[in-house]
Amino acid sequence: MGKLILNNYILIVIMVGTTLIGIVSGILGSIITLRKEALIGNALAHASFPGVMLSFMIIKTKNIELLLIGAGCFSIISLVIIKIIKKYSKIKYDSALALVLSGFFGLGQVLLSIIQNTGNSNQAGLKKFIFGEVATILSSDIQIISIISITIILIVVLFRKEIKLFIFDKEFYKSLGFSCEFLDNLIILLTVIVIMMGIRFVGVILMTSILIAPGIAARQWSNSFYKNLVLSGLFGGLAGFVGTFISFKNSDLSIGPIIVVVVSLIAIISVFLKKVK
Amino acid sequence: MNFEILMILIITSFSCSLIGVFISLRKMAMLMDAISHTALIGVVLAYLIIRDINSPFLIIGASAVCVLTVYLIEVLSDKKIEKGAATGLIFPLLFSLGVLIIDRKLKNSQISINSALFGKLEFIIFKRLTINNIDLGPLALYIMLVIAVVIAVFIIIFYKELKVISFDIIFAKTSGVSVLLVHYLFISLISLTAVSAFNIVGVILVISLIIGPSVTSLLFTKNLKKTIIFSIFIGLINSLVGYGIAFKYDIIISGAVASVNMVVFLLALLFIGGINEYNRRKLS
Amino acid sequence: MESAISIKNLTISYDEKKILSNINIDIPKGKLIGIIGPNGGGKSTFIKGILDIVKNSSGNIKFQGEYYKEYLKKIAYIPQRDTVDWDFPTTVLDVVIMGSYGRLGLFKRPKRKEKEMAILMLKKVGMEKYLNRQISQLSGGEKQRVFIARALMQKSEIYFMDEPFQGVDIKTEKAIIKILKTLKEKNKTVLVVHHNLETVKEYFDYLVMINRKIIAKGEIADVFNKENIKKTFYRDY
Repeated sequence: MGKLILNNYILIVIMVGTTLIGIVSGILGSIITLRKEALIGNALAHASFPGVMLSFMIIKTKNIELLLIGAGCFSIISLVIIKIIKKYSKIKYDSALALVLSGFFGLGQVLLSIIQNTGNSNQAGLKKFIFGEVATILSSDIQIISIISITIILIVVLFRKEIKLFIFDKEFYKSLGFSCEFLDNLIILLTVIVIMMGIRFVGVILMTSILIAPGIAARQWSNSFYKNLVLSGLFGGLAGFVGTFISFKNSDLSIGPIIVVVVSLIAIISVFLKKVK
Repeated sequence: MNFEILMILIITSFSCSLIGVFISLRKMAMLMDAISHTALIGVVLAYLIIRDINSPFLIIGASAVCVLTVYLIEVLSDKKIEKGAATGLIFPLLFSLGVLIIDRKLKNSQISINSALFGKLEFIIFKRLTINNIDLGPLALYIMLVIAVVIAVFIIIFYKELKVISFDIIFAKTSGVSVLLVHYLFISLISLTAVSAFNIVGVILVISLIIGPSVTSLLFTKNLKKTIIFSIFIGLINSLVGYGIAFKYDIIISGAVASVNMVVFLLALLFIGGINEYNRRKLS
Repeated sequence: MESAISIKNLTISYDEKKILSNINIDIPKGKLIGIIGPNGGGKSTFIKGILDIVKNSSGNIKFQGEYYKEYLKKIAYIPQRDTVDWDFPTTVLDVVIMGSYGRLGLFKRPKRKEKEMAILMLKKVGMEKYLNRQISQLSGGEKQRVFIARALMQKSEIYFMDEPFQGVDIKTEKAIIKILKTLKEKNKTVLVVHHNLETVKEYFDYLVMINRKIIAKGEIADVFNKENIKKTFYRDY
């Protein structure tokens, strides 16, 4: 009986986590997809790798929060570099993404080797970073994730009108005296935070999917920006919830890929059932 | 420094630089990223069917999966989903399916995700090509040599088609160029490259070798032929420098080379920016 | 009047909305034809439909009795300028030589003959001094002229141009029209999607007025009048 409660407790904790992550990923992902910057999430996720390594080298413990802050910083640095490349050269956006993604990840590999050379083994940590590791998530982590997620949702709701204008009618937005830079930076910051939380569950490679798929699905059902945000959040959360459940019933399967398969199926089915012009 | 490892690295860089120029110009960089990731899964699926880790059909089967990935992405793009979004939807899905299959059926298999991502340049030389008990060198070297030759031949034969398709694909179609044929041959070729190379240098370095030298080259050149030559040259230098650093500081080769590729580009960008600034000040 | 293209029941949709419905028209050979109509009325789509580069298109289109796939190499298409990547590392001469690729087929390379012909075409459009110029350094009018030189390389029977005078200076515009008239004199058929009503009479002999369907078609003198203009531009269909 005790074990049953314990098992269910873990299930509930993780489910809350994945559902929340699904919701905020869906929402932010929808925003960046509508801005036609869908793959930036991929680049930001991969680029955080050296950040994790460097943080570890500095603090020498595996304090997750600090590691993720370091990761987030590097994501932001990578974005700055991508913007510089876009602004000062004729190199195309997707090439810049691929270059920075591979370069930063390579840098992470270099730092990892240095860490391994000094005797601090981190092999297992690496696999978790790439594929996510739900097993070590504690209820205290979920509390933090809950607070952050709800804050993010509130911020998006608060700025929904500005974001809508910013995406669809930039000129009008500017003419109202609003700052483009502020909103752009806000969106990026929120996205990075979402990615930092998300990679603990699904890992670096699959992060892109939970950002993009809910948005694609939502787009097939509605032309309204607000409805898109809500639907994306719903689809993302649903995928997190269902994915976790399936994963618990099949304990040999990793949870990240299952969530991805669920959310991708939602997207593909939506595309083929398309109701909107 | 191990000469064999260096040769393998250089040949791989050569192949990647060649296709890299066209991939960069055709804005297929992130598509290549997707192909590289699905290469891993392609190998897994092919292995499930063939069950022989040494079979050459493994490479062909895996390449077919990559081509399928591109096809699916193009189908979705037709349904009015932006290319980047379609890419970000399809490849994680296929990758996840692959991971799940590994989880369920290949738990104790020889397929290591670690080496798929980071490559195993340091160890790949241990697998030799022996004929009649004569050691001809590392197997990987010969595989990459064959790939390099195939790519070079392809680019020579279809140079003008690749050029016009990269520059103005609509014009190519309407002026009677065999766009579909060359396009799908190209996709097959880059898939083959991804599948062969990822096992040696890892997914991330494949992308870096493809994009890094070509975008660095594009900063300077005004002519496609020169872009290709310069890109090969830069790839070579970057690989040498990267391997040198890796050897000296005992760090992983693939990471070092990928980092060098990015740093060299950024330095080149700085250099060009500096020259432009100098010219601007001189004129005013 | 011989017809260069015979179009029957051309219908093109986009997202379940019909952009063009049941277009039936015979395009006469050897004329300079203007295609005019309001924005969004389907002018560009009309040409793209004929060239089979647009989706959801149905209809029966024949070029002097042949289908598009057989006749393809005798058709030259000059699209709007923004479809091309102008940062591509290539020169003006190179771009014009690309016009010969379709004719050469898969295994032949462009040689001196193609190079000389390209220089000749560049002379025709007045761009021979720009041979080795990087295409990113060209102005709007210069880019347009390079495209035309490239199209001339194809030695086609039918030429399609989509809004060639957008953002082009008057001098270039006049130069281009002169070239098009030369083509007409050689009995080639030239179709031009055009947006400036003031120059229609001066430039074209034949006119097609489109707004979701063909409002009017025929010789300029017969068709270009106030009533048809009103019908084409001031009504929603």
